[in-house]
Amino acid sequence: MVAGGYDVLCRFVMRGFDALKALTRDDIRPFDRRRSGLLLGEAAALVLLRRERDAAGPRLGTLLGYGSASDAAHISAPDPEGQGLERAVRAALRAAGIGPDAVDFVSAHGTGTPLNDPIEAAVLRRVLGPRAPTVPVNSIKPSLGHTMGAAAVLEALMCLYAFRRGLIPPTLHLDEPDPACALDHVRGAARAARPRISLSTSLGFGGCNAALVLEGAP
Amino acid sequence: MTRAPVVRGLGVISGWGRGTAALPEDARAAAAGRPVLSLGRLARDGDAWRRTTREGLIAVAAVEAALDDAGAGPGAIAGARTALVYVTAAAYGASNRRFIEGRGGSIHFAETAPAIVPAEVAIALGVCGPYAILLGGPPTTLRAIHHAAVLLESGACDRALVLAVEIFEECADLYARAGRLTAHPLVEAAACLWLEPGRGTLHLEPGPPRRPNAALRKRLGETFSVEPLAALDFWRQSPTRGTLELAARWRGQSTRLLWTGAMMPLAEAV
Repeated sequence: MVAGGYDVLCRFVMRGFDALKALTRDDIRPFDRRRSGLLLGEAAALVLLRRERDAAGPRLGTLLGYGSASDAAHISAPDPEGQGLERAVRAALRAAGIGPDAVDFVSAHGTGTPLNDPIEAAVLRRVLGPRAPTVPVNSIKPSLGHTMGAAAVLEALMCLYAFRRGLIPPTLHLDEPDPACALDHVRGAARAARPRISLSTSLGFGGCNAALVLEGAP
Repeated sequence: MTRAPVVRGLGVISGWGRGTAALPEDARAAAAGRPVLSLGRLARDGDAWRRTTREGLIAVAAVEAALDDAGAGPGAIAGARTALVYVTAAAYGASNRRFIEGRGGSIHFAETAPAIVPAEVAIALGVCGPYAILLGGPPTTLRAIHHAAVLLESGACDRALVLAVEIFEECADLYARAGRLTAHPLVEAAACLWLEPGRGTLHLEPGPPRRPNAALRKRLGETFSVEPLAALDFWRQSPTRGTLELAARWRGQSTRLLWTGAMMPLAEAV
């Protein structure tokens, strides 16, 4: 099965995000105390998925689990408590058959909006528990922009390449971490690490939350 | 092959009225030249509904119709153990047009419009379990049923709602301009299928080369993603129903769903 997403930029889309006051005139700064919003990117990303029994030959990795949940809280804003995201993450871990202790790396949704980042950080702290200060977290949206329909696929691929290359890309422009977003952020430069099991989170309008658990292949 | 869910409830509303019993024998004749049969803005008491979109009110009414069909109240589907799988081919058009023409609020635009209806339903009824938004016509509705079955089989939820909503009034001129009007009128409709774990089997496969459901469409009109759920409603009312076969074709996609035990609760199956 080929799965993926894409989005294109046009004035209609830009006006929509601008109407929500979600766009920044600055850089995208996820989890930074100066964060002021997102910038959009244009991308397409597809993956070829095969069942384990049909998956002879080389592979980039394995999709171990998936979870989704609705916030049932607001049309355009995330639930302030992040309960939907937490349910999605826990469901993905359950589907993968692993506990939070097995997570080596988190690719965060990390939009750089004032509202999203502390909610997401709080959810990750709750889920990861005592290991939260030591599990590396990044967001590649400052590098690529928020590519909307393509974002989750790009981030999943980044997780798998991080394992293969032994490098976790940094969250660009995260210069002054917000204490409300305290996590082990990868910032400044890529970090040498080989995260076999990754958790990737994605949020969408309408209280749509999703999470993937991925395992890199050497 | 997926373990099939059982139908706990099914609600259908359309521009013809509530339920498939309200359908005329011939939609084209009953429409009397009208290209669109609108549901209008459904009236609801209470200030909480003032900002709900027209399509959101229709969606909530369809879910409530499914609840009525099952003899249950809203409390039966509230919470994190209920999945919501939403499908539409056209219901987001109205929000997009309102935004483009500056007639709506600022939060309805291309990236938010497809999510508005399921969000309004989730908020109104407290449904906060697994969640999916699928865009497409009748074959997508069959995939939505299959996705709901997979969620139920995996234990991700205890019940799943498959919700299909279509509205046309706001974009009727665009359908005409694009040559999308057919011999049948466009009929605004919504349907909600309430599924729970069952013991039958469900199989999704490539469908027929010709567009199925001609007899149903003659009575119902064009309802895009709602059509398979209306077909299911007719099937379950049939005194001679056997294995349920739902077929759909839409813009080059052709899908068929074979479903045994659709009406057989777990207790009867053991």
